[in-house]
Amino acid sequence: MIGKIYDAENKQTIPFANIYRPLSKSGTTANLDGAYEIKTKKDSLNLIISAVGFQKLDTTLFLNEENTHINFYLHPQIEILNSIEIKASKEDSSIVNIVQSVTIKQSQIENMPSIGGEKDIITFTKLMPGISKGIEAGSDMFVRGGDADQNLVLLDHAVVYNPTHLLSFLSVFNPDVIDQVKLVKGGFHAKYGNRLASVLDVESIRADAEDYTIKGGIGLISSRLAYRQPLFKNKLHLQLAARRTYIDKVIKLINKDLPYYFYDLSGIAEFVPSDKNRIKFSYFLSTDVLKAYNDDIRKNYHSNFRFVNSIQSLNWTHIINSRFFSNLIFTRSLYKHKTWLQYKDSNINQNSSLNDINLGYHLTYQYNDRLKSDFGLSLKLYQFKPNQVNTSGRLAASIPDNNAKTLFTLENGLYYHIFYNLWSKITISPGLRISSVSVTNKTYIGFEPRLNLTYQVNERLNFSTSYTRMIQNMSRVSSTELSLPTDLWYPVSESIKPQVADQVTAGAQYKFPKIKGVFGMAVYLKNMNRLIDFKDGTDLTFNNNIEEIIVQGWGIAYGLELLLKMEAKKLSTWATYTLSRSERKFDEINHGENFPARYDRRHNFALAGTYKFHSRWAFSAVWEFQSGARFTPLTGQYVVLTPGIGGLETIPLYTSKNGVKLPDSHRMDLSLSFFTNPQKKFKGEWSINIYNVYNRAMPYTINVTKKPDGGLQYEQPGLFGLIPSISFNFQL
Amino acid sequence: MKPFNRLYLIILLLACEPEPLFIDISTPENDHIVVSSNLYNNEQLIVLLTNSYDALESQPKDSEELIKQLSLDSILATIETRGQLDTLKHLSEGFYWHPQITLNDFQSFKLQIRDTLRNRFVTSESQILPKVTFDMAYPTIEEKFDTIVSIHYKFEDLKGTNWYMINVQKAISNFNNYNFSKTKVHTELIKDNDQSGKSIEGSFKVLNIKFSRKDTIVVSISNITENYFKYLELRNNEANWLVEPTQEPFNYPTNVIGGIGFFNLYYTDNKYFILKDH
Repeated sequence: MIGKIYDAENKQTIPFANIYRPLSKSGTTANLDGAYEIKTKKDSLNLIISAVGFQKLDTTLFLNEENTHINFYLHPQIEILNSIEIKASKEDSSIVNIVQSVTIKQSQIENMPSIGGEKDIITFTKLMPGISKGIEAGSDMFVRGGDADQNLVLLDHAVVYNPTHLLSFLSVFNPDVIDQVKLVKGGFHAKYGNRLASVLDVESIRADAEDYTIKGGIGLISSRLAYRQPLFKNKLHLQLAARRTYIDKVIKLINKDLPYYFYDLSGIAEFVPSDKNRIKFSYFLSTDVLKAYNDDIRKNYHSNFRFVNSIQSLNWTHIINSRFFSNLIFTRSLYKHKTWLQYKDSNINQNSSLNDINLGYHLTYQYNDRLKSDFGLSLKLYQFKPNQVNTSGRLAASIPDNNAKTLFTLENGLYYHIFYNLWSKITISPGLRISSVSVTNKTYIGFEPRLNLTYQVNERLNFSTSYTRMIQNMSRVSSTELSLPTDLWYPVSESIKPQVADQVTAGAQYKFPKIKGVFGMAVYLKNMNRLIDFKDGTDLTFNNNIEEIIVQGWGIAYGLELLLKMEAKKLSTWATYTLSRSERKFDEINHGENFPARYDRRHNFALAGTYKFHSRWAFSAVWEFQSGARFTPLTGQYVVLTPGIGGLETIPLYTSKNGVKLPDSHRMDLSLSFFTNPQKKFKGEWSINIYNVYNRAMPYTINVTKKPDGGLQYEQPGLFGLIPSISFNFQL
Repeated sequence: MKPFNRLYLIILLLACEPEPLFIDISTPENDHIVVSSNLYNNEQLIVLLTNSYDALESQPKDSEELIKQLSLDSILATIETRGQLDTLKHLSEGFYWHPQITLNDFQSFKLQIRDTLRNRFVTSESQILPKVTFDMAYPTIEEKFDTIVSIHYKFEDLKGTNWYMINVQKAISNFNNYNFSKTKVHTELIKDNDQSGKSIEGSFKVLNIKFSRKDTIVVSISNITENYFKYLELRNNEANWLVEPTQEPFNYPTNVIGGIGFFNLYYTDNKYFILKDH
């Protein structure tokens, strides 16, 4: 008996599904392409088919000679639970604690509240414990006390250097193209490197399907369309997707100008020449354009900002034999931004780019049921073109021409990670990554040991602990006050040394026996050395002497994370909580005294729930609370004589660095979804969303403003208030 | 498209801007003694002594009024050098004066301020560095949207590592009814690269001051300490509108122990130019 196992919803094959025969207590596993083969002489067969993220299928088949090719269709768990399914990573079997590493499928957040109907998986991922947010609606996230540039964002194994649209408001990931996001915060696999805090591994949807599919959506901010088509008897699968915003046109309706638009394009081609080989090519392009001008002779100005991500990846998966798998990966990532400003007689042209080419070969060998090893290597060449500035006119005096040198960096990684089931209850997985980075006149070699230990007390309870060292060889030159798409990435050099973080974690996870629920907790301690910051008062915008402004220091972060998930027939809820602290110390900043990190938020709490009160109606809510971020407010001023003769100037006085905590913020978002008849081929979903229901300001800064009585006061504005939106998503 | 347009309009009209939150920030009281100084004609020491003030305190816009409100007038200010202690004369609100101090290269001066009323005491030291003079300095004028003045200079680098500043401003003809806060000074900072004895030559544009052809300008050069150079570097950066949005707040360095501000002494070599002649 042969056949394939498919996802009932999107008709994609499910790799490595388990097929179990309870009567004979034997079974088999589907291959990479979802194909299986069972040898039997019986006329009837009872099978239990299961795969992570899907409902189990328990079925009895009656076989005859004409009926030996049978395909199975598994329904995603979302169909029943209508909720978020968070599961331990399957790939990194060392990590058994959902608080350490979570995987979220795009299909599992379809009913969650959103702004403008954009079901942004990254926005949702940021509700997980251990993550502090930056400013409201910003894309930056701060994982376990780390900095925003310490997160490795991957799309089909290629690095995404600026994963945001709308100046950080939305992620670049089109929901119709994304299959799942895996966020790893601790207990890292040895294959990961070059970031200290986290890995956000985004996987695009697999293009294989039995039949064509059209998916799309129309929302307040943008519309999108994806088309998938199998060709050549399912040997080749193609998918094309596009998204474009029209927020510029929408805003124009109320006679306001927002001269901004973005679009992204995605293409996937999957070639399956045999059961043992699969070749996947992904192409991704995202562009943001901000174009403003005024032709009035007095205000005459033109400006054009353009930010582009261009990513290509080629992935050849090969099953050498039943125990040996290989994965050959070639990726190329380009991020570039161009700025052109013209005001009266002055012009500024600025270009920056970061280009990397990566070749990786990864192997997995399953020695036996108790021992598995992953090993491989990667070679990566970076090309950094920092600020190349050309100016003319009056501004040329303050911003001189600058043809910054192009920098090349070669980074190599070699790793070995073992997963060994020592006794039936204890699993040990040590790993080592040896990384090297070569820059002009200097090579740094780093040893990054990793160790995970798990003690499975029983089916319900386990304890785990881990130690990891991570090394980072590049950093983003951006202000913690305001990160911009124009921020540069800069490599290590002779004077800038790699950043290092040592993290120790311990956690436990308990599955409730009677109800579908799981509780996970973890504590972590992270010691960070040679962290990057910038000298006081330095220019980060058009500066090409980056090495002169960078300072390196120390940081420490520790915290407790909790996650609770409960599921009932119609109702699904989960809650996350983080108690954390993150400090920094730089000799050149804050007079060498310790200071709290900018987003050192003491408490983070999120509560989300989905209630499917009718087969075609669902209601969802998310409430989140976060302690205020840290801030350095203006507290006073003083007057001094200027150099020269007879001048006075006012100098500001601030608290110590990040010396004040902003007020706590909280917000509730709601969503109501209506599904068209699920029996029909055309499936539609109307969704009404309300962002920030009670219109609470989520403060992002402190201003000194005038009171009505003429006095002065500290005021904290919020970016977005209540925003209602309606969207329609469909699938054909 | 009309129904969609209407729908969007309704949605956008429903969208609200959140009310800002108002908060109290308990910060330490801002009553630091502020010191700043200048040396006129390379002999007259002027020291301005004021109090700092709270960010939420409403202050007069007029500089005379502001100084009046912040000035420290009942204090004892002394300057000590090579065992000689002189008391500074109280000139007017906040201003203290020494009519003629004797200066020698590398001589150190210690300023001491004693506020007996509030039992505060601050002290600061400064060293006078050798004098640098222009070999050549002249302005050129470019008439475009505004009158843009460029300064061309040449001077001989002094021995060792040095930090120079060139200041450009309109000349002050009359100090009566003079508005201090309206005086703008452009400060160009130049660090030598161990070129001792060699000429340093260059030019720069003065963009932060509006000139007219009628103006007389004064261009001065001074050899200053490294600490004061760094202080001025930060100040110049902060004044750059392109830098400001991404710049993180910071407190300026000070060489005043127990207070804030900067006490320093430096020689100046002044050149005057009538713009219409150039």
